[in-house]
Amino acid sequence: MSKENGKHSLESNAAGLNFEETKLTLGLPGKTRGPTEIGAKSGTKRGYSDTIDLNVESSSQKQSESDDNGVVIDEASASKPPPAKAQVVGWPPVRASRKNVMKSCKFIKVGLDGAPYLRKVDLEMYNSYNQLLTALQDMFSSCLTIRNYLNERKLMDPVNGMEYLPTYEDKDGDWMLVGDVPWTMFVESCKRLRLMKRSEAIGLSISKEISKM
Amino acid sequence: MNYFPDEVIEHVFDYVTTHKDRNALSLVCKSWYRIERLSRLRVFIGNCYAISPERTVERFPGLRSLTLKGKPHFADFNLVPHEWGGFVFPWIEALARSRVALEELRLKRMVVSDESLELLSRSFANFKSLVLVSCEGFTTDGLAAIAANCRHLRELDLQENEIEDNRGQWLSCFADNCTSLVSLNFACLKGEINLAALERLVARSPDLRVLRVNRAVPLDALQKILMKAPQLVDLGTGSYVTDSRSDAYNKLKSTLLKCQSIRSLSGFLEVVPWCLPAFYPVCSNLTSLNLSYAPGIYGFELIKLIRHCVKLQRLWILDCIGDKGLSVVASTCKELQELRVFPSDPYGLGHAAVTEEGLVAISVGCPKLHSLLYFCQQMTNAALITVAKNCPNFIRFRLCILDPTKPDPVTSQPLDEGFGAIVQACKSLRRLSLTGLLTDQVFLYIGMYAEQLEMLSVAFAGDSDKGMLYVLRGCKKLRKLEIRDCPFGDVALLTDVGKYETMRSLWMSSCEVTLGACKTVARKMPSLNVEIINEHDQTEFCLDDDEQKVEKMYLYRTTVGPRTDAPEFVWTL
Repeated sequence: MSKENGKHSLESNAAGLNFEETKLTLGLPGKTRGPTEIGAKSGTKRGYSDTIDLNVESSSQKQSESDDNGVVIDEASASKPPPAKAQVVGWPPVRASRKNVMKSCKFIKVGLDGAPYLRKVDLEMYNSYNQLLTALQDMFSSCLTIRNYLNERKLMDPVNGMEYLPTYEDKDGDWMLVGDVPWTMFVESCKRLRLMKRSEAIGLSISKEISKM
Repeated sequence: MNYFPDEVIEHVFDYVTTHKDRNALSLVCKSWYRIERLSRLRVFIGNCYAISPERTVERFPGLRSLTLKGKPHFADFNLVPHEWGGFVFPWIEALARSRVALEELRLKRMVVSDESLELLSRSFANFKSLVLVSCEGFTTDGLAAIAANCRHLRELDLQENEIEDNRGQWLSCFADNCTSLVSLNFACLKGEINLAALERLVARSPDLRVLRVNRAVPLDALQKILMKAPQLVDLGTGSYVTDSRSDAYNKLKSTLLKCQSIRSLSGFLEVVPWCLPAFYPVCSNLTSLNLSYAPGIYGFELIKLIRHCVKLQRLWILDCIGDKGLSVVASTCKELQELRVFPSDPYGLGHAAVTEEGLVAISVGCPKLHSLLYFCQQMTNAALITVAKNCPNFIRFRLCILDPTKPDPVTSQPLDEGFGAIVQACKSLRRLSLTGLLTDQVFLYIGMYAEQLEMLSVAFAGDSDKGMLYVLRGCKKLRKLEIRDCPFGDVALLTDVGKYETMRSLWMSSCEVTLGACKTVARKMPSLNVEIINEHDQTEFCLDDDEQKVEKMYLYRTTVGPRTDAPEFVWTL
C-alpha cells in the first residue's frame, strides 16, 4: 500500500485544487482554498484535478426555500461570477444525446410583480411577441388575462383591472419595454423578463420617450 | 443417458428459455448439446468479437433471433474512438449466406452501414423485428430499405442512435399492403418526416401498440395519429408546443380521453408545460414515464403531473425535479421499481440538482425499488446506510456524484462505509457503479459482500492495487469490470490472469498499467484478446517500450483469436 510507486502525487495546494466540500465563499474562481486535507487521501492517487483543465467550484448549496405551493424560488443571482466548466473527457458519464438536450435551451426567468414565485420560459420555443404574450398569460393564468384595447393586446389582472407591462433586462443590464426590437434580436439579448405594474413602469416609458427625441 | 426420444427432450427444452439456462443445458452431455443447438431459437452474443459469425450460424442453424453487442460500455461516454470496430456487416453476410430464417435482429453499440441494412432487408423473407440501440453508421436510406423490403415488419425500434438524415422519404417506403406494424420508434431521428405518410401508416396498422415519434411531429399531427390509434400502449410524443386555448389542444384533450391503453409515456422533446393537463387522464394508468429528454417540464407543472402517476413502476427524469420533487414521487409512486435521475446541467454547477435527501425520501416511500441510476450533487454515508436499510432489494445501483471525488459533505469522510452498507444489505446486487471519494476499503467491502455482482463500474477511486485485487478475488460472478482514472497497476492486473477467462471483459483507462504487463497477460492467456487503444500521440507510443503506461486497455475472452478488422490505433497484443 505504499504511496511511492510511481503514482501521481497531488500537491496538496497545487493550483488551489483540493476536494474538500467547497464552502460558500465570495472569492472568485481560482482563488486557493485553505490547506485543509481529507485525511491521507490527496497524495496518493491520480486526482480528478489532474484531468480537468479548469477549476471547478461545485456549489453544494442546495435549493433555496420554496413557497407554500412547493414551487422553488431561485436565489437572485448574486454578484458571484459564473464558475468555470469542467473539461474531463467522458465526465459526467452521460450520452452525447443527453448533453445535447441541455445545450439547446435558452431558459430565462420570468417574474410577475406581486406574485410569490418565478417561472422560466424557453424563448426559443416562440416565433413572435404574440406567442410569447399568450405563453405569459398561460404561465400566470391565475393572475393574468389578455385584453384587447384598441388593437393592442395587453396583460391585465381581471380582478382589479391592473395592467402589466412586459419588460426585459437586456445584455447590457438595461430594462426595456418588450416589443420594440425585432423578435430575433429580442431573443438574443433578453436575459430576464419582468411583468411590471403599469404604475411602476411610467418611469421606463418616459425615459424611452426622452431617448427617442 | 437418454431415456426419451429427441423430440421429447426438445419439447422439454422449449420451456427453458433464458440464455443462461440454455447454455447450461448444452453442457450436460453430447446429445443434449446437439438437441439444444438445433432447437435454439434465440441467440445472445454479449461481445461480437467473442465468436465468429460463421461458427455461430454453424452451431445454431435454426436461430430466428440474434442479439449482438459491440463496443464496450464506456463508448457511450466518448472513451472509445469511433472507428474502433463492432461492424455488423459480416454477421448479416454470414446469416444471409447460410439461409438462416432470421426474424429478429437486436444490436447494441454496433456500427451498422446502409449496406448492411439493405442486405438485411433483402435476405430474410420473414424478417419481423429490428432493434438498434446506441448504434451508428447508417442513414435514413438504410431505413428506407428496411421499410420497403421487409413486408412482414412488426418492429422498428431505434433507441438513441446516431442516424444521418438524408431527408429521404423513408416513411413513405412502407408498402401500402404492409399492415403488420406493432412497434415503431424513431424518436432519435433529427430530421423532418412526412407527416401524411406517417398518418397513413398508422391508419393501416391495426396492431400498432408502440409509437414514439421525433421532434418533427407537432401536436396537431399527433392528435390526428392518436385518433387513428387509440389502442396504443406506449406513446412517445414529439414536439408538444401549443397554447392552451388552441383548437389542436382541445381536440387532443378529448382524443386522449379515448386512449385508455397507454401505459408508457415519453418524449416531450419540446414542450410547453402548461399544456400538460391534457395528459392527466393518461397519467393515472401509466406504469412507465420517461421525461429525461424534456428539460421544459420542471417545477410546479412537473410535480402536478407526477401526482397523477400513482401506478408508476419506472420513472426516468431530469434532476431539475429536485429533492422536493423526489419527495412527491416517494409519496405518490408506491409501486416504483426503477428510477433514473439524469443531470440537466452536465457541465454547470447546478442550482437544479438532487442530493442525498431526495434519494433517502425515495427509499422510504418506494420499498419496491430495485434499479437506480442517480446523478447527484452530493451523497453522504448516513444516507447510503439508510437507503440500504430501506431498500435491500437492489439489483442495480448506480450512483454518479457530479464531482466524482467528492467526500461526504457532512463528515468529510470517504463514502466507503455508505457503499459498504449497500453491498452488504443488497444480497441480489448484480450491477454497481461508484463515485465519490473512495479508498481501497470500499473494494474490500465489495469483494467481501457483493456475491452476485456481475458488472462493476469504477472511476477516480481507490488508493492502490489492493483495491482492484479485492474485487477480482472476491466477486465470483463478475463478468464485466470497467475502470477509469484509478491507481491500479501491473500488480493488480497480473495477480490472477486466469480470472479474466471467467469474465466477458475488462476495461482499464488512465490507470497505472504498463505495456509490458499487458503483453504478459496476452502471452499467458491465448484465449483473451488484449487490445491497446492509443489514439493520441501515435508517434510517441512505442510498442517496444514496456515501461510506458497504457492509455486504454480492453481485454475480453474470445474463441476466435485477434480480430482482423481493428483500426491502426488498436493493437492486439
